[in-house]
Amino acid sequence: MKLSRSYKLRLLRKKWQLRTWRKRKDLSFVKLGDAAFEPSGIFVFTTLRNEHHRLPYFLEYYRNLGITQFFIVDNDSNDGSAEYLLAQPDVSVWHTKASYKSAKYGVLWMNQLLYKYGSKHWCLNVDCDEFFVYPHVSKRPIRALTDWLDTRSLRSFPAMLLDMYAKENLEDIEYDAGQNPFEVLNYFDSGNYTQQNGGRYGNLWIQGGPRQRKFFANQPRKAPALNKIPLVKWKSSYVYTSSTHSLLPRSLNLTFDDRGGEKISGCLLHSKFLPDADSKISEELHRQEHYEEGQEYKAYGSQTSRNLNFWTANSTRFQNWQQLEDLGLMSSGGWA
Amino acid sequence: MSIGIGLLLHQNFDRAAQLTHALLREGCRIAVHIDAKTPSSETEDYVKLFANHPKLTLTKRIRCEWGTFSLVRAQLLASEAILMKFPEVTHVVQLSGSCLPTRPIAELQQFLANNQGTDFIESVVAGQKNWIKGGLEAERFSLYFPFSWRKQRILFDGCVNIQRKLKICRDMPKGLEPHVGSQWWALCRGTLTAILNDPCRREYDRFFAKCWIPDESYFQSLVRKHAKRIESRSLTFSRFDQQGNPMMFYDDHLEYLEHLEGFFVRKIWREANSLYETLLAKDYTADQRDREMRLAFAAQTERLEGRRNRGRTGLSMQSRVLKHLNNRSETAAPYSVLLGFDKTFLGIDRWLSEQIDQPVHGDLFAIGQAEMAQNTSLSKGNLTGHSKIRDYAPLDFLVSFVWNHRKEPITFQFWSVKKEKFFRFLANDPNARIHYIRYAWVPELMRENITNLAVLKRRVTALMEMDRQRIDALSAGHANFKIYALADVLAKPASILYALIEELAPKTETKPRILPKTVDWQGLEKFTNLLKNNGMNIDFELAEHARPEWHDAKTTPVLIAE
Repeated sequence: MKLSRSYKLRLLRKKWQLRTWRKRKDLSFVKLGDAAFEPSGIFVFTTLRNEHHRLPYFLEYYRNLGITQFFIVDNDSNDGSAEYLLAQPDVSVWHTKASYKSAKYGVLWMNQLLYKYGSKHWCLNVDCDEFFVYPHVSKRPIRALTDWLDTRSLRSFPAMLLDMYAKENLEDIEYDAGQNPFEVLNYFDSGNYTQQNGGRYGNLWIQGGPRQRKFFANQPRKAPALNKIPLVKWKSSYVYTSSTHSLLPRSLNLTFDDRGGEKISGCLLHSKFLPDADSKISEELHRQEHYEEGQEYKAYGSQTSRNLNFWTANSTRFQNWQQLEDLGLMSSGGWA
Repeated sequence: MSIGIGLLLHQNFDRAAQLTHALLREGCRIAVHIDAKTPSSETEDYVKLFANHPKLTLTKRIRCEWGTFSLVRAQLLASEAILMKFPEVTHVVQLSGSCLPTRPIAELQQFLANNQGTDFIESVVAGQKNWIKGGLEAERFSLYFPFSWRKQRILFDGCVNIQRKLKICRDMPKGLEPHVGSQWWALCRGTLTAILNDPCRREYDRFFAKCWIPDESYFQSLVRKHAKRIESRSLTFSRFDQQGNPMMFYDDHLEYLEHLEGFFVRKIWREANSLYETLLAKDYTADQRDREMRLAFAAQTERLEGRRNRGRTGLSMQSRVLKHLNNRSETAAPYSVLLGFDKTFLGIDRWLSEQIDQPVHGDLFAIGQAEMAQNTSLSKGNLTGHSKIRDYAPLDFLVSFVWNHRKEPITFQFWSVKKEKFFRFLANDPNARIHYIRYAWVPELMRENITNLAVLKRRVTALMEMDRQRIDALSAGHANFKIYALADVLAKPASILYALIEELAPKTETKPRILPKTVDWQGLEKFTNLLKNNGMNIDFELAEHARPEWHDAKTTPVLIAE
């Protein structure tokens, strides 16, 4: 890479750090969990708003993987999420009433917490409706993965967002808090994703899946990006620049092989389309706090969201990580 | 008799303590070397536990650096300690803190008792490129290595390169031949004593101190001088991937471990609780080694390891980007492409599909929606034929289409003028088998009844140019292709179609009786004469006697004369 270009990226990284710093007063500290400073901890970082009925399973899932501490920004929930979080010993909480949008869709808040608590740790940055799946996930805890990544000197781990949906219409789904959402949302699209290379951060840009075919058929370019790099061995000089789609320095985004091999990768199972999706969609449409004026939410709104159904005869029923690997959605990348 | 164990430790001392306990319980004698780099806060408990144990001795601690002679020195210290302190020891086995036994220790004792006087050490002649994975081989012995590979990588590489340019080549000490192999060996007392007391040992030590990774060559070379009988294999199973990284073992490997060769395995992941619990249990027993299990383990491991280097052909995904290198397209499976057949026969896709009992897709790149078999708008994997989504990333569309259908036969048609970039992709794909009818556009053009000669001329020139470019692309590309002459196809449709069926579905037995109708080509001769007389060099009759033949990328295609 040219020197001038790499210097520009450095300036850009500084700019993101500055932005993060300027938003430092957004977050008001609520409580620190028990093991927030454990040197060998593997941490989850999350921003949420009104996710009370998703939280129990979210926390349970990641505790089972071996996550020791959750750092959560509560963006002014009013459904009891805040109280629920307060009662959890392994959760650290910050509260904010500030605009999600002006904090670059929460990125600046995450950067701030990562800077302060994440350095030298493996940090997993996920939303409450994203469930991290990696090779051997059913038999090996997340520390097995991060230890392995350490031995291979890998600092970041990609996991594509995989939208999960039910066979039934949205209004016919039954889901109880604490239940595994993928007992209900057990289908996905297995073979309709596009990868675009390039961009100034060097990351891959992945689109496709049920949302593109259903909502963005006439403007596929605007379909949501599915590439994510949620797991990073954090350093204080790193910044996320756009959700968890890309980071700086640029080398953290080069999580793919272009010489024929496969690097290791996982998936984030996306449980967005649970029964509360339609009320959430109308709320977000109203708040206009989401990406590109809620492009995505507008597109959903234009469909009759209660009858929303992504299922087709070509949908694939979810089984396990091996299935995702066989389908070519993720790769064990040499981790036997 | 008993077994002496040289145990090298540098981290995870709680696990090391578990291993040590189990080995002592089984009657082993142990000499432990602890890396001097490890802070004493970590080693304290371990030392306290074992310092006064009668069957265990702690050696002097030196600083160990991977790849250097310090590791050999640690092994030497441990070996000396065992030989001196425990005269009852008959065999010395080298282990590390991340090893675990896979068979009961009693079985190893029995095995060694049956093999008195045999040394088990992997010892392969260096420089044959069959043992070392990723890295230097003969140069380990012939160059100098003053820099650390882990901490001073740039200096290390630079130093190697300079020495290569200067053609530096150190000589082996007299009487030694360089051998390499795993450092986890088991030597019998006699051999080890002879190595330690070798009169030239000072010279050897000096030489190996400057070699690269001498712990994989010191004992392996010296043993050739002193051993009576060598079995060149390690009793500790370990595995390295193409980059030279050791494989880690986890709880889910448990069912395979007892079937692996040898009596120990490394490296064990430090938190593999059930491996530690099971393999170190007092009453641990192992079944007879099962070859099937060993093969199953090898197959699974190779499949997963292989992903990193080779990857799956034709797969485009988040951690594998297809670059289509050297103008060579990459797809997952063979497929057939028909060009011009739908211009020549009516309803060819449905007819053909019935004959060969396979889906035959229409033009996947038609203007508007992709014409997939049975008029569906979604194919496998929910890949949509919607024109805007398909055209947003057309190559991804084809790559995904082939990947999704890779386990079944794929046949589709293609015509789509103005998709030349795409045609070149097909022509460069070794997986493509292209059936091309030249001049297939003529009947259609004729039926358009264009009366304005200038317009007609322009159309014909453009279409001829397209034909020419496509044939050029085919002859330059990697695809297999077959070119048919239109006149030939119209004159003998049966033989052409039978041959096509034969090729797409070789097992089809019954010959079809009803052929699809050809398009209306009444007056074709008159029309071509008209074109010719107006100066357009359209000459498809010339090919009438040439039988279409397969051209693969290696042979020069026989082109129809223009």
